[in-house]
Amino acid sequence: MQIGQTILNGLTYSGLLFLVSSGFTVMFGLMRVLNLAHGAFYLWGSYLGLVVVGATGSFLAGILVAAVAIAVLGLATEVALFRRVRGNPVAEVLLTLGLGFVLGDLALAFFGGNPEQIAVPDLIGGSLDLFGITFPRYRLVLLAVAVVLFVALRFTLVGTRLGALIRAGVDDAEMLEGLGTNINRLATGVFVVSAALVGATGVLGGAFLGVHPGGDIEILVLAVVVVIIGGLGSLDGAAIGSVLIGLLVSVGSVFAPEFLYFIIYAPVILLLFFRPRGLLGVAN
Amino acid sequence: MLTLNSVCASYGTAETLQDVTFSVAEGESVALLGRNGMGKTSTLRVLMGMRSPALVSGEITFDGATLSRRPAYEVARRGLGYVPQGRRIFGSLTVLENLRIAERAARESRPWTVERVYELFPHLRRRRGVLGGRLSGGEQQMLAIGRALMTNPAVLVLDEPSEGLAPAMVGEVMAAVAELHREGLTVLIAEQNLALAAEVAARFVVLENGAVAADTDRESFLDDSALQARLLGVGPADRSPPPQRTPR
Repeated sequence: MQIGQTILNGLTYSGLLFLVSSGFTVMFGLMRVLNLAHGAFYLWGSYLGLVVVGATGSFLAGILVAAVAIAVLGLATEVALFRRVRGNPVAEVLLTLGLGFVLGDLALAFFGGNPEQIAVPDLIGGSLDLFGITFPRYRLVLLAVAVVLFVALRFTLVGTRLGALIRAGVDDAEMLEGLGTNINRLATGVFVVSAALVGATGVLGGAFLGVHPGGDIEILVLAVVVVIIGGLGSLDGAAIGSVLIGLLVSVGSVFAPEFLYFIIYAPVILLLFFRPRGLLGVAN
Repeated sequence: MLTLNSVCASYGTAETLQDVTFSVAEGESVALLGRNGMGKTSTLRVLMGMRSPALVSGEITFDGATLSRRPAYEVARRGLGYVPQGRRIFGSLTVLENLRIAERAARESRPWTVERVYELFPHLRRRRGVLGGRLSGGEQQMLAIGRALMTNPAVLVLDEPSEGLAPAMVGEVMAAVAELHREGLTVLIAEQNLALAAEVAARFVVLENGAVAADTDRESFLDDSALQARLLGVGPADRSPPPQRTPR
């Protein structure tokens, strides 16, 4: 029974990891920028959700406000900051990392250091019995949201002209621009959608893991691991990486908590040794 | 129609183009010749608004509008269709997707469509569902040309389309370019192989060390074996007429 519970925990945690890493990996694929402020966007989404849900009692309002606010933050940072250093990897890393720290400290200054929890609405709260396992309903909802998002993103990427443009940009952004596509506009659009997604995920995650200072770094590190395992720029890879890391974290936490980091990172090191581009990454 | 006037460009501190000046008239087919490293690709990249090499000075105009320092997407939208060196097909997109993402509003009565590209290159119709990365070099080159045509260009700009292709494929690709020119499309083609350039171009601009060393009509250049030897390091080119495409 315990193993079933552990696997379910791992799968639902995988759902959260996928929600965080999906936009992150597509954005990297297109812009070649590993946005290390992504975790801070998540944290600010959590805090905004906390405030809005606390004030209105509406979980959905919290998600919407967080998505819109973080999208605006993403648009401002992309246009005002990131675009200026595009093509300079060292400056990009320093800028996004620095922005992440600044946003993290601002969150600490505004919201304090006490851990908080976003209240889950009654409709999706409580627990249910699943094959004899009593499990929180909300976590299953989170997993379902992740699956729906995966299907929606995959359809967009594979079945629409916009998706084809994004995939072409991941393959060769300069060539795509040479055929008449404004790559800056496309990249900004992807960046804003990615920011909105991680803002909304901050609310979902805040009701799952709680909201606390440092939560940005914890989720960022795991998201980076997920996209590196899956292959930078690959949505399918992010899904596979999320499941692997979610299960490793869950199993490791239960059966060998003292070796948790070893359990997470040793397979990553091995994988990168044999497949430096990750499971589904492509040469570019 | 298209004019490069005293164009200088550099990669960092390394000057790659020096005072390059030439023009291409509407309906004309011009070959940019030169040995490896003489500036052919740099010239086309600067023309297309690619990020490097950087345009240092000079002016590029097309139909009276300046293209200098315009981003690549604006250059393409103004009517320059680019077939890059090495083809640069989007490997994770199918043949059909490669064509469709390039589609731009037409500026002529008979616009390029996927169907019209398939008529030009029947190979591509059979391979339409195949990922670009899985095509042969010749198929990729056909796709690169078809993709550029889907932008409905006024000028087709090709960078060494014969590079790395099997001889049979070279013949098919160059015959297609010649046919496009006969249909009235303006062509600017960078080519290292004099005989191939002679199949499609009536005028040659020869680059040496990033500067224009000769700008002459095909017949004069083909008659001057000393000039060919000096600028290209080759003997007299085959002067046979361009191959006709076999009827389908």
